[in-house]
Amino acid sequence: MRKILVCDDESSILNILDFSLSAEGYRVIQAADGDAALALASAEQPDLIILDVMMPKRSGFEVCRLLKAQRVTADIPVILLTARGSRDDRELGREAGADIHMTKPFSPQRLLDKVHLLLGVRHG
Amino acid sequence: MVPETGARLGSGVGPLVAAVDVGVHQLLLIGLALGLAFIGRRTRTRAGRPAHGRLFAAGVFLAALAAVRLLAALATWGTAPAAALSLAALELGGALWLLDAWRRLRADGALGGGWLAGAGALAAVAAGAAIAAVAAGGGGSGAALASACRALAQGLFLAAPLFWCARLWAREQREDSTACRDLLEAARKERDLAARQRDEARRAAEDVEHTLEGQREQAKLLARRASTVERILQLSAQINATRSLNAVLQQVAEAVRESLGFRVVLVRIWSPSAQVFEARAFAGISEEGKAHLTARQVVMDEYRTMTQPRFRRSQSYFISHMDKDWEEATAGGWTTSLGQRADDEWHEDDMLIVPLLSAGDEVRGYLSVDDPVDRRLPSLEVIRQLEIFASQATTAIESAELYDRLARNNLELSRASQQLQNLNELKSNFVANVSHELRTPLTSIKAYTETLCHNHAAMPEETRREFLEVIHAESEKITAIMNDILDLARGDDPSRRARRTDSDLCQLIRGAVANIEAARAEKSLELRLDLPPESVRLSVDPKQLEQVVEHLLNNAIKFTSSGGSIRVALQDGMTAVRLVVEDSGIGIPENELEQIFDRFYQVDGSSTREHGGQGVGLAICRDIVLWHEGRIWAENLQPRGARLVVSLPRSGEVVHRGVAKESLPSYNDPQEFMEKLMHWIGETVGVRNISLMVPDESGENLVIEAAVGLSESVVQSTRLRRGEGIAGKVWVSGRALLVGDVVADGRFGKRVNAPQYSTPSLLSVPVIDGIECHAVLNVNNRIDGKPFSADERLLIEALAPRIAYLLRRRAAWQAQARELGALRDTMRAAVAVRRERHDSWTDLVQEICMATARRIKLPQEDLEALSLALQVYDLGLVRLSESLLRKAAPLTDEEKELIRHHVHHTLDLLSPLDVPSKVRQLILHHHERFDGGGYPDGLAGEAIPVGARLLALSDALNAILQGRAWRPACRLEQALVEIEKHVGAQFCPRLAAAFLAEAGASARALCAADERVPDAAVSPLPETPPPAGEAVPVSSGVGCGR
Repeated sequence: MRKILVCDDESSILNILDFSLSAEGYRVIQAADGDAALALASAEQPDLIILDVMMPKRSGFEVCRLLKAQRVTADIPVILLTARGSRDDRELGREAGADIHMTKPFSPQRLLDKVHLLLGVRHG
Repeated sequence: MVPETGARLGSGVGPLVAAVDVGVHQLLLIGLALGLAFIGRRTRTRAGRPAHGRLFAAGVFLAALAAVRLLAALATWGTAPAAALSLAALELGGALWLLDAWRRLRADGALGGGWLAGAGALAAVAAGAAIAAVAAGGGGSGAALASACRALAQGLFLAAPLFWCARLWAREQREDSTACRDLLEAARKERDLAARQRDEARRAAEDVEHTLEGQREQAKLLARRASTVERILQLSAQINATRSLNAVLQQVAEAVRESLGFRVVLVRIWSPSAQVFEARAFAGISEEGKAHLTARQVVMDEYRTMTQPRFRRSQSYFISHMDKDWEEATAGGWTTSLGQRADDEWHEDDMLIVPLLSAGDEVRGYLSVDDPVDRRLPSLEVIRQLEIFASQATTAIESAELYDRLARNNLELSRASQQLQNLNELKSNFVANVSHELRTPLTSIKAYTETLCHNHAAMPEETRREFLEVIHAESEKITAIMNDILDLARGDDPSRRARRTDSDLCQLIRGAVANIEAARAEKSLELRLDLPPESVRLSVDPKQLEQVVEHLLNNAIKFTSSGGSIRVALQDGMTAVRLVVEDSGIGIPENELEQIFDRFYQVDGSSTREHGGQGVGLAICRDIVLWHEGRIWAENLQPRGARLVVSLPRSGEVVHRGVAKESLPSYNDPQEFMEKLMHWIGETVGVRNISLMVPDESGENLVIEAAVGLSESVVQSTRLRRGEGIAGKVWVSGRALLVGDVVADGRFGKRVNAPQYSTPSLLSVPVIDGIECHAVLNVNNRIDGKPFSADERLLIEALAPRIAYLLRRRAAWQAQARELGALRDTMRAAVAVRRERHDSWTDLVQEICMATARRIKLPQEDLEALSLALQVYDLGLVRLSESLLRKAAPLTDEEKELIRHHVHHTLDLLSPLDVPSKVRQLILHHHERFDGGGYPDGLAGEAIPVGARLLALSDALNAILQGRAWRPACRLEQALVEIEKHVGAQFCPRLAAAFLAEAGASARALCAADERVPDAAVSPLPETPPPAGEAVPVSSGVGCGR
């Protein structure tokens, strides 16, 4: 079963992501802030990470950069799921090493498509 | 006789010779006679032109004849020598006479008596010859007699025509003299004519001279005009080069002085803001004159009076001192003394006003000149030149205005652009914040609804419900955000301000606390309510106020991390109610304490989203508080946390007994008093002008305290030294002075046309009270126009003591008013200090202090002093700036000095209250330290008054309990420990022991009654004591020890 780490400071978002991904047969690991996400990513080695950007303490950009910088998590694809969708923000996301930048409000169906795509590309 | 001679000569030829001789002789005589007759006739017919040439010819002929006869006589010498000689002599005499006549005639054109003399001489010679012949004849007496008779006859014959000729000549002479007179007359006429012509010629020459002079003048004028034009050109160049208006105006003034020869020049400019003509440039005016002219501002009405059409010359206005309306037209001014002047010369009171007119004939100012070098009244030519200079000045003013406007516009533009930039920044922040705040719930809603739509059928009923609840909650969030934004947008809507009702603030706070309960619980924050036991009623808009409390609480929750604490307190007072919300959060950067109330402002705009919100909450709070005429501010707490304070005023209007405000007599209005006094004197004495002069502060000069009939400028500027002027003399002598005619009197050097004298009589009376002269009262211009008499003098002297009495009373009133003013300031300070600083801690500390004082058996008198001192000892703080009092950073030496001075401010503020010296001593010394290191006097040990030592303990405890900007608030137990550390150094050991004992008892009592007084026992605020080792001085509410 593929493991997906989702990280957001809004519980309602975490819940709906959990619901949608679980329905597709993924195992979902939840993190409420950036530090938790970093710890869980190293420990659980998920197949995919979905990151919010505007979070307390550490922004999603920073978390992404750190993930890509450490060897054990560098290969895990990252989807940035954020309200910040300007061109500058996309550039920041790309620099941080994110694979996909998706803006809120988002369509769960399209997110699932991207998830399938990333995991399919990787393993197929 | 001649024939006789001839007869004697010839012997042979003798008879022939004698005959020829006689014949020739006779013919010659006839010829001579005829010739003379002819001359006479010719002379008569040609009057005025004497024929002297012919006389000459006749003379020469006779002379020649005489010579021939002489030769003949010599030839016949011896025969008849006597007869021949007599004849020759006769003829020679005749010739001589004729020649003489000719000479005379030639010399002066007149013969006069010469003819008669000649005729007489001829007759005499003939007679002589006859006698000689008789004498010579001797013997032949008959012949000799005959010869003698013949000679006589011949002489007579010769003399007769001569006589006739002489008569003719005389007549001619007479006629000649008539002719001469005519001639003379004619000549005189001619001379007169010549003289007239000469005069005319001279006049013509003079005219020519004049013309030449005029041309020379003209040339000079042209040269001067050329130099004027050159000056004007220079001036315009300077005007273009110089941007400072004053510099240009000064140049214009100097140029007028140099080029047009006026020694005095003044430029006044219309100031639209002050609505007066201001003196801006001077030339040839003394410093004193400048000061006077600067102080004397001309209003538009005065300008209009000076520029009536009848004074107009070209574009300018000339007001002669001889004009009957001079005084009205020229309301006072300043002039140089020019001395006596002729009527057609410039007089010191003459005025020439040259308006500075803009293109649209708008008056921008005017130029006035005085004292022309050539003393002449201004010609049109000069006026035109002045006007050219004036137009340069106008240009200068207009360009200066343009520059000004340009500069101002630039400034405004840059300010506006800065504002726009700031606004833009705020707006982008706001948009970013709002969009994020909206996006978050929207994201949830969208995700949940989409999932719901897709998986509707497969979903269990419970999950669907759960989803719908989430959607509902998130849309509620959106609604709340939208409401906030709408509130803010409606912020300036006045209709929202008028819904005040009498509300209970405690209840309102409890409501708000309930509303935020969920958010508080989520972050598990501790919340303490510090509300008075009874209700606090105030007229407010309850909904708005609840909103304020909610926003403040949300703000506190937002910036405080989980597990922190929040305290809400309400403190009531007579003139204000204070609402305090404290948190233990991150605090506010010092430089943003003000900005946090700006719209859309949010501390920390980085991408980490620690704290939600769109930065409108505090802006809404500020709007609402301002509608309630209140204040809101923020402070930081140490070591962490922020305190937001809202202070809402209570009306506190004092209701007076019985009397309506308007009907109160305004005895304390000094102006109205003086007005009444002046009117009373004026009516009593019957005068138009009164001035009351009093010594100034230095006591060396008299100034006008009040006056009727004098212009304001005169009142403001008049200053007489001791003994100077009439009033100065009266002041020194202390005796009244009655002057019948100031001008005639000559002692005072008054000008006849000085505007204040319509009649020349005046009366100056000292206002004496006992022996001291308080004032001098001058009156003049009696309404009936008569000079003053001893009666008026008596009357005013009788009034003087009354006036002195009134002045004394007025001084007393004013002193009283000042005292009342000071007292009012004291009250204000007392109210302000209590409003800002007083809370339940203060009461507790005061109780402890008084209990200690009783415990150590302080005498009753000292107890009273201490009790009063406790209430007012830090009044002086109101005079220190808030930023200084709230400053958390270490103070500079200068700031420390400022703070130390508050003790004196306090005493100063208390002075009108006449507090006992004991109280003053306590206040003065409550910052002394037991070891002598305190201030202001560095007293040590027992030298410090007991009350002051107690006051020091109370002040320290109060500061620790309340917390100050530089130190955190403490619990009572901790505060006592803190104080104990400083016993011996800062505090008196004996008193401190008693004080701590009392305080400990209070603490225990509070613990026991925890429920009743929740805040005192367990402070919700951070309980970290000040770091040990760091010598945090405990003393003082104002940080003396820092």
